[in-house]
Amino acid sequence: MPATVKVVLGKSLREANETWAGRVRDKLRTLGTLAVNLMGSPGCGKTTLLCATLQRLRGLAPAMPLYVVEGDPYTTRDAEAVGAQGVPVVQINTRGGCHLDARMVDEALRHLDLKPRGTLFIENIGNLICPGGFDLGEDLRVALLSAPEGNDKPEKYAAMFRRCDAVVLSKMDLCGPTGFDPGLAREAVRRLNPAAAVFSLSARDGTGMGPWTEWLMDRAAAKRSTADPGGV
Amino acid sequence: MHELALVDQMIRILRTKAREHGATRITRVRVVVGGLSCASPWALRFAFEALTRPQRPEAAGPLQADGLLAGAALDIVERPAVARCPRCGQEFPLDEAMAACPRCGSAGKVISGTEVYLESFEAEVPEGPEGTPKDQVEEPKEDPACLRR
Repeated sequence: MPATVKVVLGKSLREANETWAGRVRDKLRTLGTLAVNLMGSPGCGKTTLLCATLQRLRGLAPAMPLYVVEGDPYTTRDAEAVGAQGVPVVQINTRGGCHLDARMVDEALRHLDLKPRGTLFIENIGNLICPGGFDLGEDLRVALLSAPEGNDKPEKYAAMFRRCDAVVLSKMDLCGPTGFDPGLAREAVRRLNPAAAVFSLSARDGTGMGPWTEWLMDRAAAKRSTADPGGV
Repeated sequence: MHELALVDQMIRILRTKAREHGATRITRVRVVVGGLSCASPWALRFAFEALTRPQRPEAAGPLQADGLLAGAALDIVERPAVARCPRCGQEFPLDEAMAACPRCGSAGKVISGTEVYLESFEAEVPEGPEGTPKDQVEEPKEDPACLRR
């Protein structure tokens, strides 16, 4: 009769992802490059916001290197849209997978010739649940909520909205037809996550893009100071 | 579907630890799942059964072939999320959505509930030369902050 043993561990099941996220974070710290993880539902306007943001940042800071890692279950459509802006982009196809993980991002970064003191955008898979559970080594977690989705989504997807640094209320040009109330959405976010910055904008007509890009510029400036002068 | 990735990681940890402790068969596994972890207990159990119980012996994958986990029971401890009020310090459970401090109404800050971790396992070990081995081994705990992520 074999004896039995009980082993008490306390080991995170996200350990593998955390190890990779740490690698990504170390790499970007040395470079002084800001990493922004864009999350939100399919069709909430992540790619449109990204393209409009890249254009603005290029105008505001022509010398700042910009990079994009595009996550999609299938197709290279978004990477092509971003690539058309002349920004280096790497496509990750998860083949149906519901989120990006840090190993995928680490691998994607090998395909980018990263120069110091830049900004990297990671467009996550369209999904308001799973991406929230995976640290990608980013500095900023940004959740989008578009007018057609309705202003009750922060309560329904609280895990996403509670753990982000900023919420972008997008497609604000559609508030009229959809009955979206940005005031109620802001209030819902504030109750869940009082520290989050909230931006209301329309990437299509440009309304509200200023405060959002200025916020990114401030964060990028703060991150630049972490660049290792010897290593870059 | 990311539960499959979590269980895959769990089985990898179990296999390593079973080897370190000289275990021949794992009989019980206990995981803790926080209420805000985005991991569904139902899907975790489904993934665990799929990855530990080969339907046909010839279809067994590398994680199942030696039967180390065949028939192991899975206990899932669901831990409700807890928030602390930044203003008055009151701790309170977060149920589903908005959670204001019951004492002063401020928005609470999540202090636990996002964790998913392997708490412990029980396994059979051959009896050692000096009789029965220790019946419980405590390994050093990970940084609690890491468990909460």
